[in-house]
Amino acid sequence: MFDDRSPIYRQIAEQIKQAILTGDLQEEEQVMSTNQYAAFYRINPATAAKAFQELVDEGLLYKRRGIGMFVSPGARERLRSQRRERFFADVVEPMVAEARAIGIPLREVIQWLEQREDEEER
Amino acid sequence: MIERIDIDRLTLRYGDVTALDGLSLSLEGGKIYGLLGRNGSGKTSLLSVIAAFRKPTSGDVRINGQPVFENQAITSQIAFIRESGDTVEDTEKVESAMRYAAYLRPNWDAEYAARLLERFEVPTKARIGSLSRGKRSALGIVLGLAARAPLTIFDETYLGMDAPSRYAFYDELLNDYMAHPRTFIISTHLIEEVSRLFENVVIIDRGRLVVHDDVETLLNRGTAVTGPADVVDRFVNGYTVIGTRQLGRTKSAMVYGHLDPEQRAEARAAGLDLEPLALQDLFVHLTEPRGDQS
Amino acid sequence: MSQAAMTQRTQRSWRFPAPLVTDYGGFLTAVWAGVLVVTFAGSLVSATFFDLIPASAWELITPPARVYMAVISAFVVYSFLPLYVSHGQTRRGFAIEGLIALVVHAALATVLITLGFVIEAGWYRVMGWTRGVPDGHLFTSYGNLPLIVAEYGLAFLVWSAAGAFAGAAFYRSSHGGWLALPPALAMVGITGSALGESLGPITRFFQGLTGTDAASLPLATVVSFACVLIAVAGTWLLIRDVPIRKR
Repeated sequence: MFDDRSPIYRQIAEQIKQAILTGDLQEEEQVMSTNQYAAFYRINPATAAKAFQELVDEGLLYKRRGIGMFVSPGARERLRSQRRERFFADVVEPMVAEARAIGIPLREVIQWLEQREDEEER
Repeated sequence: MIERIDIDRLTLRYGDVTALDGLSLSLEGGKIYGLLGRNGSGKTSLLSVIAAFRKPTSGDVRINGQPVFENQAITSQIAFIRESGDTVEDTEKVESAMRYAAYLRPNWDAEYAARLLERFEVPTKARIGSLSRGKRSALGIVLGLAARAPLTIFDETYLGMDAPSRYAFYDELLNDYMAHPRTFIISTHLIEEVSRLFENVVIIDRGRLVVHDDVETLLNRGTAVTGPADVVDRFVNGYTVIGTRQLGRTKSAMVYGHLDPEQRAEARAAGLDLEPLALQDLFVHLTEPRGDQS
Repeated sequence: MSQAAMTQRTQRSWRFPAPLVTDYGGFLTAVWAGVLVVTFAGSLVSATFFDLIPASAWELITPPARVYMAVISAFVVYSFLPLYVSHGQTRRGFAIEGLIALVVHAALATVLITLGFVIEAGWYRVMGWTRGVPDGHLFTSYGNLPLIVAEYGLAFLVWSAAGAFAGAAFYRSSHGGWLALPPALAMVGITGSALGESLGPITRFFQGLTGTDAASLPLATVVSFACVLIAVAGTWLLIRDVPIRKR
């Protein structure tokens, strides 16, 4: 279910972030509990709790005493701007490196993107 | 509640065989521990002393600060299931084993036991001696879980069980742990299967403690450094290398110890590939017999 | 289990061992009923076909009954000590509960064996046979129920205690277990002799002590309790720190 290379709790955190980004998890919506995550992924609840703690530290989730974890207001926007900042470094740079390695000129990549943009505008 | 388990310079000898060799270890209550060790490393001996099944040759075990041996207040809080569990005689029926458990176990949950028997398809009317090995293991699991003992220990309680029943066991254990938080110690050779259930891992070898840490920290300490042999050799110089493998000019060295972000960046800049080690690999290499130790 | 029962189990190391008592008491009663039928049927067969009427048919089953007591006790110690400890009880807790169970078991056996003699009286009367008490008993008439109870009560206690001792020895070590057999046999032999059985020099020693050929209840009581005490103490010494091994 998970890639063995990064700690499970980071993978869970990543998954929750993705759900917030895509809107599957709305702001002020309650997140499944650590125990539910633990049971679902068959992991120690302390490990699941670590994922939640990471998200709380980043201000994406907050805790309501005795009720559970909720998505913070503004979480989606914060994630989007974070991702935007890292977009070129995280997504475009590796793409450029890959294009170079296999001999696709950047010009061609730009053309492809422009064509794609035209399609979307139509 | 079990708040802590303190094991102090524990030694256990059987004749001239030393099973535990001055082992010291402290565990906090409320967690799921994985106890790993090769065959004959002293796992069962250690667990037997913790559960007061055996008196140590020297050293002691204290739970919540109290000695364990022949101490009813403590032993009544411990359930130690060895392999298939200790039950009444083979000639007795499963339901008889349940009856004695209900009588002897202070927190016995008969309803839960019945549900577990059903889940693992253990026939209550069957004689214990007629059960297959897997069903006997399942019976051990039922006796262990339904005892709801504040300290529950499973020592290789999976022999003969197929993968679906083992996963059913892991699910039951996890769910019951969350519903009734307590301390579990699980000794197993099926590391990959259960490692995610562990919060902490204890590795012993030749009757001594090798490592005790929480799983994440432990996993952070194991890194496989892969790349051209000479570059790898230069990089790992000064680190604790617990194992190496070579394929042509490519070498992989398993480094034990924390690598900080700078060191990681340095490795990547040198064209090396860094990969965390799986618990199984860490275990194998930390307990590998080495010439210099024999 | 109720909250009260839970705290009781945690704080006290023993309770009345109801499961042991009912299991082994129930089994004993069933065996007794079966033996009763077989014995009387056997006496009928013997009388009809061989013209042999036993002085007392029930008397014949008393030696195996004593051995039964020892075997059950040995079994209870051998198999329930590890069960108790692996269910979180102490060896001490088991020792107390086991002792209670074995005493109750011996008491029940005494009642049943006495009842056998009473029933036999009716059976012999119906058949028109006469009964006779052989030598080697505390009692001289089957009508003397208190002495019958005393004799079998003491004998069963000693055989049970000796069995428990042997069971503990075999649990401790399968080889060492054999070493426990001579003292166990000595205990039941000495008690038997004090209860009137003829056992050479021991019997003569007891006769010298009491100055009479007849067995004496006070002497038998003292000897039996001394043997029980020794066997129980020996059992405790064997189990107090015994490792619980894998089966």
